[in-house]
Amino acid sequence: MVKEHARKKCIHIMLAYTGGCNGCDIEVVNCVQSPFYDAEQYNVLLTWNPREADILIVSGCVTKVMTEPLKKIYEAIPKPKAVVAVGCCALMGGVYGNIGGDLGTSDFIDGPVENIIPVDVKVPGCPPRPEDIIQGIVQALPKIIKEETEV
Amino acid sequence: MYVLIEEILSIIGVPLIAFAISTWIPGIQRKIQARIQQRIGPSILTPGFWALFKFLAKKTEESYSIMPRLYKILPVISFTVIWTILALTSLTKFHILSNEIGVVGLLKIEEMVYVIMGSLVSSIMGVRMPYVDECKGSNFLNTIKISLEQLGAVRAFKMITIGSFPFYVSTFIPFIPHKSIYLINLVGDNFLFSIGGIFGAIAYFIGYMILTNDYPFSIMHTKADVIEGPTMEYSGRYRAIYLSVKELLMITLGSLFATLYLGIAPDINNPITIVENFAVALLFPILSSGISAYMPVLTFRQLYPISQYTTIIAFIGVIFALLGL
Repeated sequence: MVKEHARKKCIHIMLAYTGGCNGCDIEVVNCVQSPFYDAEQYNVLLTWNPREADILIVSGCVTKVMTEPLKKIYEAIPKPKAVVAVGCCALMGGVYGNIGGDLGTSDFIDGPVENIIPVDVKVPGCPPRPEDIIQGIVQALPKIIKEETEV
Repeated sequence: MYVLIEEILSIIGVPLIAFAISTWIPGIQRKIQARIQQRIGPSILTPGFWALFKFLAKKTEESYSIMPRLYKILPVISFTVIWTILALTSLTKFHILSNEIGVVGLLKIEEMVYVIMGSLVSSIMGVRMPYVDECKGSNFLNTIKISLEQLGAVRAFKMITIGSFPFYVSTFIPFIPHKSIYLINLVGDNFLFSIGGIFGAIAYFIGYMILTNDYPFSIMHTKADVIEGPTMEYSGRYRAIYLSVKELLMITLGSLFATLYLGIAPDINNPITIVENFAVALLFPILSSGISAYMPVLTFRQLYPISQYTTIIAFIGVIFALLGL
């Protein structure tokens, strides 16, 4: 009871950028710390430490050099944890996945994110609106609140 | 028998009350900063109180450290040390440690713990970008490569040697008029409203911000580099302990100010002193959060002169205290 309440009242999100134009990152930080959206009022706190995080927000197309770090960051987050993939690049590679045009898909990305780590919530958009990102975080909550873990 | 109960209550009860109050401090600070930035901000209990329970309910992952067991025990040492300082300010009759040397020594242990933490750990987030042109004859061939946590350890060491110096000078000032180093002699004597006391209080407050690693003095946590620093790898219950350390330190230093400068030691026989002491202690994090909301993170080039000027202020306080003003 206390455990679930504590998890609900304090949600740490971590943003991992894996390559791209940074548009999604700006929107994620915007939705947490700007006076307009201010997700902090719903007790969502932004952190840069995977050991502290509950929800990992991944943006970008996952370039080959970012594959291993992304896996390690995911493994470093203690259970219970959830992953929210944000933006077209994270969901399907975006323009970076199809950069070759008629020549075909790019060979310097390993994305989308679900090829590398399990994704729980997908938020489309290029970049997604802050309202959608907040909704994505809310949709990931049941997993981190209910999930049992051996402590 | 009565004395024994009194001592046990001083050692356990007073720090326990302080710890209970301190869980509110991060929330109050965050709320003030949010309001300054025209946001609503999180609930007051979220960053300190509920975060503590949440971390206790999370799985404890093994840390990327060369000596994980030592690394994990360090916040426990830190917590015990701070608890002892609070107990000492309450138990002023315990001459062996209830004096200036004892308090400074214990605070030094607390600071030293960060250096050890930083040198033990190296996580994925702390790895620096490689020098790519190394094989092509770059100038960086003999540069020592360190992770951001190790850089945090170096910075923690610099803060011990330079940063926190004015703080320790300012803790020394109230003892001068009494020609004694024992806390018991300060109790009941208001030193703040003298010229030496005012200078000492200014130095103490800046030193407080340095010791709690608050903005703009948070260089040890390398927040400027986004990464947390020596304490990065604590997860689960160890992160809860580390959070407790941060919270307890904030109220302990404030409580120490009330004891040293206002002569209000938390006395278990006189409960109003406990209320007064912790009320003064709470003023410190509130003031510091207001200041840190407006300040950028300082670089070393800016930090050294600030530390020097604060030391000068502290020494002016020493001179006035020696003159009896």
